[in-house]
Amino acid sequence: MSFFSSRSPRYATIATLVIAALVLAGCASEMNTAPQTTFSDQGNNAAEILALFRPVFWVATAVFVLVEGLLIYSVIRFRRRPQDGIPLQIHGNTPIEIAWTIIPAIIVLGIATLTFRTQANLEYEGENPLQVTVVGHQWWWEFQYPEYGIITANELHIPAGRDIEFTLESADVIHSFWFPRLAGKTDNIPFAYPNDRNKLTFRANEVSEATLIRGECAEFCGGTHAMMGMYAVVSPPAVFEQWVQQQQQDAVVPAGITPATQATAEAGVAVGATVEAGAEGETVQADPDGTPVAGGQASDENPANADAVVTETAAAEVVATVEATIEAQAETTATSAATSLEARGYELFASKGCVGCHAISGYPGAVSRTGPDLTHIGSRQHIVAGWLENTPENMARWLRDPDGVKPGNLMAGVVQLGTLKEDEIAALTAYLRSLE
Amino acid sequence: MATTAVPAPRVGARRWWETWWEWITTVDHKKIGIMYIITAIGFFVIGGLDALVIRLQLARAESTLITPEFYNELFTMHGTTMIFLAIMPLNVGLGNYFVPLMLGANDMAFPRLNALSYWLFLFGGLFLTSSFALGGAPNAGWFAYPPLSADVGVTPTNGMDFWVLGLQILGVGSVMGALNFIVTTFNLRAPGMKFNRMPLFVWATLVASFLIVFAFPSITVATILLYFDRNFGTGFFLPTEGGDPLLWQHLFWFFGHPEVYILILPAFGIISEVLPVFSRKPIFGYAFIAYSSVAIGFLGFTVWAHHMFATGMGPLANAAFSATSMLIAVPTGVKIFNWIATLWGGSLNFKTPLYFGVGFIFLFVIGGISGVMLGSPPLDLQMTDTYFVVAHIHYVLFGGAIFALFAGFYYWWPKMFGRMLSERLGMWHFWLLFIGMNLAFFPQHYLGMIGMPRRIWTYPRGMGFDFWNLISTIGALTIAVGVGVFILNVWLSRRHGEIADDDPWDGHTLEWATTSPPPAHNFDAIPVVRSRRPVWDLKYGEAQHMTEPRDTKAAGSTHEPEHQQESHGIHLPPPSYWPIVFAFGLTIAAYALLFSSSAPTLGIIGIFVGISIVFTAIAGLASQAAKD
Repeated sequence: MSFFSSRSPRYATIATLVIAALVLAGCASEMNTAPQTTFSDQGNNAAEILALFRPVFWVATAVFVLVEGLLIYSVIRFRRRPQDGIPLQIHGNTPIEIAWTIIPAIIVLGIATLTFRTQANLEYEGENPLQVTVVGHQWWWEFQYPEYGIITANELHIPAGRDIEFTLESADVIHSFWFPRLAGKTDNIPFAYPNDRNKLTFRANEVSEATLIRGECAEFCGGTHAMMGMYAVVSPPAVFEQWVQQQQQDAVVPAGITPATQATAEAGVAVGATVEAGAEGETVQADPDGTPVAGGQASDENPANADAVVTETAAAEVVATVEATIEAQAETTATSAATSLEARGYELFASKGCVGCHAISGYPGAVSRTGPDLTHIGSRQHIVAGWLENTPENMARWLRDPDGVKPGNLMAGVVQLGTLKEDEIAALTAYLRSLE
Repeated sequence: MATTAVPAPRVGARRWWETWWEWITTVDHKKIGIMYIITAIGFFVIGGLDALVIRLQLARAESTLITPEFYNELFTMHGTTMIFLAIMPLNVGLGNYFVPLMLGANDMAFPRLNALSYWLFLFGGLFLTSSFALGGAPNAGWFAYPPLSADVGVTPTNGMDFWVLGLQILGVGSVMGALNFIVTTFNLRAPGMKFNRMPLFVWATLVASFLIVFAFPSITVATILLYFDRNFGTGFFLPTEGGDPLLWQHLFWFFGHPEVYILILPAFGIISEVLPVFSRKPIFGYAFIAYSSVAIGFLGFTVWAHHMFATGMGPLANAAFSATSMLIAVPTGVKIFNWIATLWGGSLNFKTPLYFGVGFIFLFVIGGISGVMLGSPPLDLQMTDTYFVVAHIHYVLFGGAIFALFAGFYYWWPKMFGRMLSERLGMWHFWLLFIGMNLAFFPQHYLGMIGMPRRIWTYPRGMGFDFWNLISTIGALTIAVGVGVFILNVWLSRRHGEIADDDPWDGHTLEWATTSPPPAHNFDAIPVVRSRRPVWDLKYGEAQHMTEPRDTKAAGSTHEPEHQQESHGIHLPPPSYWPIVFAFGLTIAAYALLFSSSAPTLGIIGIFVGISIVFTAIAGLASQAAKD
């Protein structure tokens, strides 16, 4: 016998205690604050599931303690001792075996009953639900609001307390729509027939101010599946309505863009169109140009963005930094030089071929749905499918080297390091950030 | 004829190529079993290295150690390798060696077919692994969901073609092997070895073999359709062509879930052999363990869609598959109680095999509990495709299957090689693996619950994932050291291992009634069996003995007794090189098919040559069978 076997139980005990202490310390700190935790619900679907998880978890823990306890006890109690003879040769015991067949059966029957009850609660027809179509793309999200004629990307705005009926579809491969704090995941499957598309209905909890919630694609979809995040902004209904009105407007046209320069931009569209190789036509239910535009709202009155104060999540600090950066930016862009930078960016958007893949409502010729809609990208808090905060630095970083930020993304097929010169990056960044 | 020599651990005066030729042409189930095990350990190491690189990449947030493309290849190949090239062939290897011995047979029912199964496994595995060097490994996950896997536009490398063709080669070998086990078990039992006296490892292997025979057609059909979609313009799984991506998921999981039981049932069998021997007691509830394996085998075909709760099948389908999944938890759970009851009241001899056996129970219980949680559709909607599932499968397949296999190695090693493995290194091996396993995988439950999806190449800072991923990586490295200790143990035992006697563990079953290692023909006299523990009873009474004068009629042996008398009057088939030729030809054809799109002429010639070799080998095998 080795030295190990006589002392191993003590080592095992110490190791177990150390691990248990680490687990408790580690879990307590993040369990409720991790951006995608399932332990802190902010929607009725997630709440139902968490309510089912709790009893099942305690039953599981009890079974674990009982069974492992029996195992450890018997391992210690019945270790071979020098004076051991041949133990009693027991082949079985039918009553005991029947008993321990029935007991687990009862336990799983209990779990199944709770399960079916939760399932019934999760499946419901929403009351006057808001319709949102979620289209998964490699590797970003498109959100369509057919009632409002809005198409946006990677940032889902929903009113708190109202049922939302999501229609889940995909432009390419299977994705899975998952906001852990709001609801369990459901796959975005590209079906041949639209009637097969998956539906998911849930509502977010009431909030007093706009709240940011992180989500992510949960089905492996190739390439940078890892960088297919998204954010939900849950707002009080009034704030949501303001967001809707803001999103329904056409994009801002920078000051200094005259009809003549706009004609130049249109000429650039022809260049951009050549880039649109391989773009497959997809169903666009909402036509942004066909919706009535609420007139007269200045872009600086943008409550959905300005009031988007994050509560409860650990991202609050981060977002505060973002806001500070945005303010600093606002000061510098107040000059006329910056305005002309935006105008240059406006022109580059066409001449550099961005229009080949990206739609900007109100921008002549920018109608492609291959890439994310950029009409109001300046109002979003993140870029690159939730991967980067929407700061000037990050936007420039992305435009400079898309592949370096998100390896293998589809834009990297067109824009490589060096494709855009630094002054062009600055101009495009300024323009895109002006699209609030 | 190669049947005469009793294999010795060390070969003396022979030239190296004679030894190699003997192994290449062997049809001896024991040699084939050893080749299976060594090859599978090789692939286990390769799959483990895949996992280590994955874990290093995930050790910290926003890591760019490897590219996402390579990461996707690694996790696809980690899963594929561990399932098809490590655990399955390890099970088959131990089965190959011990099922005939435990049944009191001289060999498998079809020795040449047995060799063919092995060579198909080796060549199929090399074929799959070579994809890393030949244009890119499979990269759509081991589950290969279309459209990702089926649309060449989104997976342009030939990795998934490698995957499809590799699985075909491996599938042919697996089904042949399974049929061989079934026929062996039905036809070659020693006199008195009734079904309800068969060792539980044989029961488990028998049920797993039936599962292979019934489950593999589903994946075979599915992968061929996938190949057509990728290469011949069909659209079975492509929605743009009117196809249905969900059809694949049903076909795949109709294979995929029974596959889980194909992996774990032999592990149950090993544990059911090891625990009684080291407790000096019979197994508690033999009948229940044997028949529950059969029940699990049947129920295993009714639960497949619990992998698809998030695909929107609807509440009724989800509830039905949830119910069957929870039902299957009952016979599985009861086995745990039977095993603990086997330990209860025993005289536990704490050698390495028992450590691994108890470790298996401890870890498998955790995997079983998380499995029940995943069987509940609402919980599954939060847990599926997260690290919770990664934790679950590793508790089941690493804590379960791999720990049981290590228990089996330490238990049976002396029988196979005539030398003991070091207990001291065995203890290091066990504790490193046990601690590493829990460090690596237990935190992953929590990671999944705080929202870390599976199959992600990296994750942003601020998600709360960093610390536990680092711990998980440390655990993975600990496992690697543990496996290193095991390999060292094996290496050292070749020369320095204590010489094992025929029955070093005070065994119960027939393999302990012959020498260590056994002669080519296994038993000088076919044993006669009167109980479930013939060797134990021989030693400790209860019922009188085992060996009686050889009576081939009673033995039910299919070998004609008088023909071609060799040692002890037992006829063994001659060695054959046709199995390796067959596997070689099929692999040539697969490579040719793979590259026929880029070089059509060469491809067609290659396919023709490969298939010609296969048919020549079939003719060769047939002529040998005629002479045999």
